Amino acid sequence: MTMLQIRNLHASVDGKEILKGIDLEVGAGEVHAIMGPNGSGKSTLSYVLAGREGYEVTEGQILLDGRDLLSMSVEERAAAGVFLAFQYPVAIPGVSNLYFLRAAYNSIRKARGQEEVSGAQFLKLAREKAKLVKLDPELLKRAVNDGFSGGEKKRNEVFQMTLLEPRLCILDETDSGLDIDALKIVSEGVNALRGPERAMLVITHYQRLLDYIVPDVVHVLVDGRIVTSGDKGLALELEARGYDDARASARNG
Amino acid sequence: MSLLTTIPERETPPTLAPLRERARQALQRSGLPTKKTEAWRFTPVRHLLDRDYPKAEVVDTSAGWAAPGRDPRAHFRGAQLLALPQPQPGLKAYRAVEAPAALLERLGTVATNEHFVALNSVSFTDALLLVVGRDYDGALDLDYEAFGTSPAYPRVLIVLEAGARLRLVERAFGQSALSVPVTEVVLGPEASLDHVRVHSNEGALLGTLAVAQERASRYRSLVASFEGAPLRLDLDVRLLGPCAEAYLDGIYLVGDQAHVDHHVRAEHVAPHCRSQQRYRGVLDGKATAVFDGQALVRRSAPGSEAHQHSRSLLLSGRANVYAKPHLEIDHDDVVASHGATVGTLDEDPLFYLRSRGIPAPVARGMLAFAFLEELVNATPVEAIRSELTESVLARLPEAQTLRAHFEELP
Ligand SMILES: Nc1ncnc2c1ncn2[C@@H]1O[C@H](COP(=O)(O)OP(=O)(O)OP(=O)(O)O)[C@@H](O)[C@H]1O
Ligand SMILES: [Mg+2]
Repeated sequence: MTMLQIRNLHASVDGKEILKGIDLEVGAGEVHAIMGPNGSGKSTLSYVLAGREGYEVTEGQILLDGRDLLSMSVEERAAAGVFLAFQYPVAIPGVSNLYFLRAAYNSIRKARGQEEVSGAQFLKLAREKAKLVKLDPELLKRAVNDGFSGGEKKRNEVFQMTLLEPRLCILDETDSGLDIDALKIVSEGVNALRGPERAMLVITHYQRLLDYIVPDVVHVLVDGRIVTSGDKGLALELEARGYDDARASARNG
Repeated sequence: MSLLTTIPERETPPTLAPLRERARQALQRSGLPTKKTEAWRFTPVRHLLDRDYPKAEVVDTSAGWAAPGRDPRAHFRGAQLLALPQPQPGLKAYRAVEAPAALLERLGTVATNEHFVALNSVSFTDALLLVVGRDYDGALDLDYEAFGTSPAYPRVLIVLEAGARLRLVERAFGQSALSVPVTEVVLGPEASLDHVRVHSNEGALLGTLAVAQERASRYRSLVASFEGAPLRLDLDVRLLGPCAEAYLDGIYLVGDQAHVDHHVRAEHVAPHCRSQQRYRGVLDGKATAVFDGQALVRRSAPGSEAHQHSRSLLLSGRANVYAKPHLEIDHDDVVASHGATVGTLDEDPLFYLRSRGIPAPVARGMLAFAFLEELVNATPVEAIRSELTESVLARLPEAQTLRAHFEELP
């Protein structure tokens, strides 16, 4: 069953076209990796999916579970199950991580017509999930990402994802900044979320992550287009040979 | 009758006559501020001066006012001093008529005798004079209940003797045409005052809070302003003895047509003193805020440290802020910093919150709340923290939802 469907997606930022016709289908339970050179549009794609302002979709369509994502606000998309683990998570001084997450958790429940949970229930859940990705409980009390190390920020993103249990997980270079142990722990957290009720887009530069989170499909994004797709062997090939072939095929295609 | 013509002839203790006379002369000399008075440029008061006021009305003193379970307190209703704190060891409270002459003579020695201070000095009906000794370590509440259609002139003098400590909460609330309160504070050597002053009254308030600090005294202040029709506060701190410290925080949160004006001044006269001003405000609707912070370091004050920062957050495109920090330093041996920022909410945190499912208006409220809450959490008087938090929440959009989100976790 197709969960995410992207058709002929064109998007620009400040009048400059970045995504130049993307077609992508991700089935329920599948994990797709997206690789590609710096500036090829990977983060742009993730922002367009999450609904960030300033990213103008000029053509094309995005459906999640058959619903038109592009007509929804950012928060409606989150309630529909979109979760973006940011490449550069922003710090929010003054807002404690726990209070922020309870607000998020309950907002989503409310939007879905579910009952909001009590403080005690939420705490229990948050502690459980924090353990899963070995997030230092001290970080729960601190302001969101404020003064977090690069790796702590990434771990915090995956912690949030584990807690909010989205339909569509988009991980934008979650592996960068993680040490070897953290990479393993975070990957285990992500793998625990794999399942038929969920689809994942994993953006990365490194084949190593894909040893842990083994993708069903690997896509290569060059200059705003997917130029080639394959199984996880493609990632190994790219690791060995770089993006030159992909670039050439983009030029010829 | 316009404001100046309503000044009543007062029967006062003879000790007060010189103060009244000096004030009368000051008023004749300088009058009340006009459009051309620099310090009042952004807060026009003409309409308040020209308005028609009835003569002072009689206040019904029988109506209940006491809120049980609160700290020892004094209560002004309009111009009338309804209640004084019960005497306690180390705490003495007097009305003007019964105060010792030596204490009465200190009235008017802290606040600069001009404009509205002078007007208060000629007009106040009753004054509250408090002396706090070293053997009192406690709290005191001071209520200014705005009341009635004639102008009110509450007047307070608080003297902390050497080594005394006090937690003071002043609250201006209620509804009236105009209130012109003047509070004078003297901090004796090594005295310590933790002070929160809350403005949530409806109607005009033009207030002065003047503090004189002696050697190694410490003053921690938080001013919280939630209404402004208009509100003006002149907070004047003079560091007269060496090693005195003044920490002056302020928050304001206003919307609609409100106008709030905080003039904060720290004057370093003695060496090795420290002053810090941190003001933060959130404005919505067509509200206007003025922050005028001054740090003055005199020649006589080497080794001073003076900091001053103000930040304002505009939730609406029609709100306005005039922020003017100034440092005036007559000495080389000084550590000083100052800055003022005015801005809207950052897009990045807003997007982050929304991407986690928090609706935009709630996300904005959360960020505005967090912005003010940092100073609320640093309140010098812990007992008032939850009251302040609630005052902030109640005035933000989506208050109900925000309350639930910020309800304390077990
Ligand atoms: N606000 C903007 N104005 C102009 N160009 C922009 C803007 N934001 C992004 N771009 C451009 O869009 C292109 C794609 O950027 P994007 O961040 O999507 O790349 P990426 O594939 O995620 O790169 P990386 O691997 O370095 O993270 C880049 O050339 C970038 O400079
Ligand atoms: Mg990127």
